Amino acid sequence: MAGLFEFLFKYRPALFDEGRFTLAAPGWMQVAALLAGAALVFAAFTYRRLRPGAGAERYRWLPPTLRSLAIAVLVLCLLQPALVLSTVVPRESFVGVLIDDSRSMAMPDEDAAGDGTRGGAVREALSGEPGSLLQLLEERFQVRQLAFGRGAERIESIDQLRFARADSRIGEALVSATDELAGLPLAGVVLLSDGADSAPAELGDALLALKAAGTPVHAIGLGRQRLEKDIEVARVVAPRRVLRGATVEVEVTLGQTGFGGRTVNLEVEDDGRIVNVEPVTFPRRSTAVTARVMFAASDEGAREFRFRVAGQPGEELTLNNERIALVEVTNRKERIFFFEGEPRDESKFLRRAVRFDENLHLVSMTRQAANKFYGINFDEDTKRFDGFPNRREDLFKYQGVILGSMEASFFTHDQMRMLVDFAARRGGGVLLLGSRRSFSEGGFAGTPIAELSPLVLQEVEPASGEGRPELIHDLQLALTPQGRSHPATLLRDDRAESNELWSTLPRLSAYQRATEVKAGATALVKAESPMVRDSLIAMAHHRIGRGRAIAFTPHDSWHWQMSADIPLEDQTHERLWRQLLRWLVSYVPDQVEVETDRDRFEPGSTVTLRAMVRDAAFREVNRAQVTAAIELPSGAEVEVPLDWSVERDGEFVGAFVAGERGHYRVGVEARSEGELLGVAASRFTVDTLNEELFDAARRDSVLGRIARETGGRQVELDEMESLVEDLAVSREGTTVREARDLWDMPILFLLLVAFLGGEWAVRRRLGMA
Amino acid sequence: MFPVVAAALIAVAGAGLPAGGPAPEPGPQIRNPDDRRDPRTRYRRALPPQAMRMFERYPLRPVGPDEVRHEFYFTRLAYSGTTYRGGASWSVDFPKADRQFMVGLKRLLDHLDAYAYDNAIVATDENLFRYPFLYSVEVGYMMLSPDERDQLRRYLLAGGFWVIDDFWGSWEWANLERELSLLLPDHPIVEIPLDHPIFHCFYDVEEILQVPNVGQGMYGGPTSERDGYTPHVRGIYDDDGRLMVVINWNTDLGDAWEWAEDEWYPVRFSHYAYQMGVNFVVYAMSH
Repeated sequence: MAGLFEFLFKYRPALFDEGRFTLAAPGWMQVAALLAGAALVFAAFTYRRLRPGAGAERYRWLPPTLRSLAIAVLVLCLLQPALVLSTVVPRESFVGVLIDDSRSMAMPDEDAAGDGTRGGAVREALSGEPGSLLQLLEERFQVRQLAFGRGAERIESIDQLRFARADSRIGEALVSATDELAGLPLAGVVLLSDGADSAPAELGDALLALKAAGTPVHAIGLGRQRLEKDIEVARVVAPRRVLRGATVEVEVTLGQTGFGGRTVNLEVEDDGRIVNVEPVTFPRRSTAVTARVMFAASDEGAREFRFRVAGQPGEELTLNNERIALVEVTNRKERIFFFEGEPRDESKFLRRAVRFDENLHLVSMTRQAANKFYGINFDEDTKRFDGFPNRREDLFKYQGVILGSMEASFFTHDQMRMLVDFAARRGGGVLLLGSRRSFSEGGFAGTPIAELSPLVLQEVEPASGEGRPELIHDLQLALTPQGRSHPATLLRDDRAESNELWSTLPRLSAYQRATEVKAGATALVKAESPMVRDSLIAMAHHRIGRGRAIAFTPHDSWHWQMSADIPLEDQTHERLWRQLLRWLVSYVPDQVEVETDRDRFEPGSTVTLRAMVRDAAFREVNRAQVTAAIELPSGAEVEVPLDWSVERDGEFVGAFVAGERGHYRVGVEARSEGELLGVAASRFTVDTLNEELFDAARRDSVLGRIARETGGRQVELDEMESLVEDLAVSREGTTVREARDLWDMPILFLLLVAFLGGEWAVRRRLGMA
Repeated sequence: MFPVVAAALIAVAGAGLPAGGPAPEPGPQIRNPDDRRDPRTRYRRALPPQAMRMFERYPLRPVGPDEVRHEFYFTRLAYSGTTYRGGASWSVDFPKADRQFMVGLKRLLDHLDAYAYDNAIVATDENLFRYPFLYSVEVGYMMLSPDERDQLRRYLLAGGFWVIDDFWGSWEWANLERELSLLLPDHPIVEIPLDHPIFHCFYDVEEILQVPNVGQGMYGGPTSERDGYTPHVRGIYDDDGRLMVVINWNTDLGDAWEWAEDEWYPVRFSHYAYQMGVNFVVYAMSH
């Protein structure tokens, strides 16, 4: 398209963009106007006498119009149209050549010239041989070469390029290149890169600065746009912290090209031990697939879990087949408050099931009679209260809440709101158990607690006196497709065995008749009974603000513990509740939390520490003294004060440059008016990362954005001549004004021929010749 | 004289013990409580005549599937054993004591979803596991069969709770001790201290009282029977420290429940018996 434009209009579109249109002979304007007028009058007079043949009367206007247009083209040529351009004075302007010197440039590339790598192609382009980019540039400009990884440095010769820098931060490099070239008459910057940017967040700011300075950046993309055969572990989303023994749920996104339809094994390794192997099948029509893998975190401490796909035959790049996630496996005790409205075997057996779980502390409060409660397991940290707490500070000490058979009318509106806030603001987990007094049957429809329920609640006539909702017997439970891969439903170590087990367990009963989950909620277990036509929802969960809520409607899961068919040593019931409660309280935030934006950094990176500080009622605190103590791998300790970020309530930020390789520990302490609000801990690792090897094909989106936003162009290496031409007409640098004729544009000649030929053809057709 | 002899004959026949024949079937023939048949037919072969008469004075308990829909059933273990005063020893005070206790229990634990009637079951019934609370009396005459022992052991270790009451003196204790050593050989019987939650989970019970049988209670006789002068509350814990068997020895809580409405029965004893009973239920349903 651009070629056709250049043929018709003599110059490339970029020149029209840069230049200003003018008429070189404006003095001819009056003469030309007179001549044109005379020609038009003559044409009109001639045609007035000619009559077209029968039936062609209505096309009579066409020949004079075409002739007038032809005259107009001639007049335009007489006026000598021209394009005024600013062109650089040869060898007086400067061009910065910014060369990506990072590791990804050493990647082999079939299409690349030179030694067959992207870097080889750069070396050849900058060799200075006749016809090379450097030679073309040097004919017209003073060239400054800069190599970049993190920041840019001037180089004198291409021999200084190593293509071994750890990362390439294009934004940072552009800024330091413009600093380096500041004060010089700069015609533009040529960026030679594959577009792999290890700090994409910084790019926007850098581009703004370049745009303001008016420096066009022309990007030459290196490498192929797509690898033919490659698999990479594109993304791993893992929790930062889990309880020891908990099932860790990790989302791994695998990217592929050339392996559509193939099944590969995704291995999870914990300290040299394979803890799970998940077969993943790549879709044929998509380049990415997300797999959910689960495994048990059995050892305490900061664990590096490796997610890996073995290299496949024919794969071009295998270094991007592994990613590491740092997960802190803690051994702390999470507190759960179990509020039960009546003595029930379900609650007795639930408490019994988790009694010896080292990481769960279940405090229960059971209503025995009107206003008489029996509390069990209160400890010094959890303030003892009778009934349901009235203060947020008391409830928010817990990480989870279980609501048993307690009717809606028991709670005050504030208590209900507090429970919703417990999940939504505090980030806690709420388990709603089925019973004759819960969900719709407990009158919760229309109350704030209905927000917590993942099930759709209905207004139900409350049972009066001895009346009770009808109990649905013989419930046969079955996992939904989502339930088959959910950690809360894992009853055996082996997923397939566990999924099979669900349908063989003793049948249960329930009062709840919910058949629908809310939009956004996920049903995990369904239940069928001969007593009801529709299948009911037995277990479902959803997210509520920062927290989560899960519903379990059968009211007698204790039959999985007490049954003639269940052997004494069977752990199904214990496992169900331990899994479910551990899932419920996993990832519940503390009053003070600290995190780094990533868990792995390159040596010399700036690590940003971000702490969230809240008071006992989980209101964000902005006036606090927050200090981070960072333990370096060498054992030394560095203190970093964190300041309120202003952008967000309760957020405190500080930065630290991590030089040493190894594991770092961060401990944060927050105080407000001398009172300790809380402490938090986090970890990160500093090591050589191969970030650039991921998404290893050329990233045109990054290069295109840089060129577009700065007024440059993105070109291929073989388009370097036109690139040099573009640079030469830059408004930047030392320039002179130059007018280029446009009267001899082929388009004008073609138009003239078309109008005159058209007139002749029409006249013949109309019989006016 | 005739009525006594006749009653004894009926009782022997009713208990299903053919004289001089092969070894009797273990336990009285109680069907599971879902059985829709007339309860009198159901219990006919096992009830002593006085219990049968008592039974007739009370309205029939409703039967049918609804029975298994409550959270709590006061379930009496119909164990195998020798006869006692002409009837099966398990059924002493049955069903009036059970029903009357439920009247009080439902009033005191008004949020407990309790079944209002008696509920007797044999140990070999597979539905035993549906009722995690068991009550037994007169265990001095209890002789469990291997099948009963096996099922009962699994029941208790899986989470069941068993309250034993109304047996007196060293001879009956020896029988129970022998039965329990066969039932749970690795679990010793120990004295339950007064600071144990079972004495405080609903009512605070500060001392162990000896509750006399109805006759001695009403007429002001001695509270003890045979050589059982000192009341004890003993128990057996499971491996996790949960109390699974509570033994009320040298005391008769059942009579105190059964005759609580009688103005001649000392209120001190029935009051105490209800407190203990309520605490047992609360403990059983929370631990």
